[in-house]
Amino acid sequence: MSLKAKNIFVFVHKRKIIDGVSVELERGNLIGLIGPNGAGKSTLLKTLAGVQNRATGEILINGKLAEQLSAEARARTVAYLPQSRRTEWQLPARTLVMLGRFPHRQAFKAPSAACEAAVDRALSAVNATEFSKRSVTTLSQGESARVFLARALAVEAPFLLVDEPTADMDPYHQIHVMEILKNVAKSGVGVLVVLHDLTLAARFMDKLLLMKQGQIVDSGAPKEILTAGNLERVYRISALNGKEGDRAYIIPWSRV
Amino acid sequence: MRNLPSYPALIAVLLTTTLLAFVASILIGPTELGFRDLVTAIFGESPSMTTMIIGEIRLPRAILGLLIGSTLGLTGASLQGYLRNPLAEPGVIGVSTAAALGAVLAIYTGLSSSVPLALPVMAIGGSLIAVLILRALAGSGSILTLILAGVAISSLGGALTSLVLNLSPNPFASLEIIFWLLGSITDRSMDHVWLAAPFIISGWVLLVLSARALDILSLGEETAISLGINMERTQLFIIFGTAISVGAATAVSGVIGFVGLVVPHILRPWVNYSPSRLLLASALGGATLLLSADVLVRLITPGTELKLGVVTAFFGAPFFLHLILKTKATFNT
Repeated sequence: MSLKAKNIFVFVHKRKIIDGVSVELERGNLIGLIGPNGAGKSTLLKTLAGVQNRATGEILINGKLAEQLSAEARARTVAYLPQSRRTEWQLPARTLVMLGRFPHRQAFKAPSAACEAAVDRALSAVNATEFSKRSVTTLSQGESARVFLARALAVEAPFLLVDEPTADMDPYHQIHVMEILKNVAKSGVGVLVVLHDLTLAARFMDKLLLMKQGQIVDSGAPKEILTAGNLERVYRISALNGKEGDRAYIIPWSRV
Repeated sequence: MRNLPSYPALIAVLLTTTLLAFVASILIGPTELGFRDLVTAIFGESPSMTTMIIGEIRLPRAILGLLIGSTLGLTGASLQGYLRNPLAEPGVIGVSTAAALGAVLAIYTGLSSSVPLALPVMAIGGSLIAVLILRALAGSGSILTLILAGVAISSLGGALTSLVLNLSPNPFASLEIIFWLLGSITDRSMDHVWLAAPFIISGWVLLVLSARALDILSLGEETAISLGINMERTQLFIIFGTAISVGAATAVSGVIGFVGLVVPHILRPWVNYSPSRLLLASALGGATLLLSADVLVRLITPGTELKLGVVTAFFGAPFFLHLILKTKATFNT
């Protein structure tokens, strides 16, 4: 099973945002999408999720054109968590997570036992069971972000696209969220994550896609991508390097 | 957490209050009627004065109160869910103003006095034109564009209404327009009911069909699309549903504001903030509120009846200010 994009072009207000990108996500992958501001990372994620219209190119879900699937079938296959994670209404956390079951539910019917069970699994995957009855607006930022992640997990789609899951979080919660995503990938879900934090990207991702000006300029294992040359060319920074066990890490250090 | 009554219990309570307000609307008025009169009117053989009062004066008024109150509550709840804004109301997307403009034109041109049906028909026309302009301006499905387009249409409709009043050579016509704009369901006949009801009810159907989408929309448009919601269809249903039902309601009652703002706001915690469950609750709540307000105007000032729209604005506007202050407070923290 795979989620494939072939030669995607996206224009927003006549500006070219995605410039001929091809990507492939397979079940069990944990792939980081990195690149400087304005590189087109979020737009690429939205396009894969079917939220953003593309000008040309194909998106194949398990070998089928995305357009050939019904909206519900597509929603059941590809889950998407956008960067903005807020709601106007003071919904209880559990109710919010249940919204993720929408593509599995029938209109005007109470949620099935399977849906309830999926919501329980999603809540426990993000350690949110204990505050599941509280209103999301009363939760701390870290708690609320985990509830929104649980909403995306509750879809139980084979592919999960997440936009900057660690934004505005303290290190404890950043690491917590990355561990959750790692577990999700281990359970067989293909996970594609937009990340700004290169240290987290090096520490947790199996593979990185490096974007610049709407194109993917390099891809591979973190240590192959986060090289001094790439960092200088794409990010215009230099970084400190180190090793912990067999895992290389980097710390962004200065502008060049 | 507070212990809330279950959803069916809440609906049962609201159904009861609606029914009580409906019966009160038939029994209370200048001619005192008892419950026995009502029974006689329904089951009695020979037509009497009482039967006439109930059948031709009180009943149409009560039915209109029910239909219009439900419409205002339902459309308010739908728009708030759709726009994810607790301050939204049919007025916000310009539908009420445009409907009022259509009706004002009917009065100004004298069409309404030669052909009585012109008044409602032109009001519905006004709201439909507003909808079509909205579709053209905000067809992409973005919520922000829709709000801005609604503001523009409201201002334009208001300006054109003022222009008509300004140009009116006949002070009596101006007076009629102004009184009509105040909003009331006094002296309406079953003709008004038959004309408005089909439109109002088709509007309701469109809105109820969008109920599930409203729940998902509380997570934002992008998440909603990724969960399989068809945003274009949802927008079409909500805008047309609102336009048709509010247009027809405004046609027979004039502008009655704030019901759609107050009722969903009060009932929201009682349905645990679920936008879909808020729809039916707000429809019943709106009907109860409008029917009770309409009984109230008959009791307070039996001679020159206060206009319903004046009463709802009198209580609604301060409530609106209170809501803005509250929203501002949550934004600041």
